[in-house]
Amino acid sequence: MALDLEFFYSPYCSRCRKARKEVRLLATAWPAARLRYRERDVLEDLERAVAVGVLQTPALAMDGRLIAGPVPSRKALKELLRRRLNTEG
Amino acid sequence: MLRIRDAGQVVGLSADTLRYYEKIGLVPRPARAPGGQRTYAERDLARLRFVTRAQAIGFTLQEIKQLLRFREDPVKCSKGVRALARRKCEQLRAQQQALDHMQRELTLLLNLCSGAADHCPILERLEKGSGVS
Repeated sequence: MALDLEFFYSPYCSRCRKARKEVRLLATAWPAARLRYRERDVLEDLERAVAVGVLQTPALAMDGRLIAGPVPSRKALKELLRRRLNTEG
Repeated sequence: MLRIRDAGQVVGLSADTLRYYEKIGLVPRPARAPGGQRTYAERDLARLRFVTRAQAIGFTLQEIKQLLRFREDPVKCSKGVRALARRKCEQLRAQQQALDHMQRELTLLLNLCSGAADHCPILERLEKGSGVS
């Protein structure tokens, strides 16, 4: 089963732009069958953001679970995805 | 024996509320003084205290009416009281979840607001209003 990765952003948040670019680059490097990547504007998708527990942007969730703290650095996220996707085979 | 205003003060309710409770049959009609004024005995006050305590833990007036009926025969009615209390607990839990959801939504919007110099995400959300029940 593909891993679900959701990136939550706001159009008014400057930190989101850089993070979004980096996360998108990393996520789309994986085949869609392994990793399903979605970007969610919290103002458009507020219900989903609240359900996942997003309290600020940018934020990242894996399989519907919020990754605590700030969005991981490119290196850390790359490693996190590698570990999660390799474990899942 | 207390007049309506004093009885209200003792139980923390206004005279209008006492009259209203009487009108909807939540409390019986109290005795009257020769001048026609309502007079409240300790038994009336105890019933009113029961009502305010039940309200404080979330029971509606309709439910309190039922509880007051159960109060007449506590042993025989304990099953009914428990069922009512259990239902109330579930309602409160659902309300709490809804409140938690609202609080998280507002916290997120407030945090978004602090990053938006020339927009107001809170107002924008209220304009769009989708998904809010």
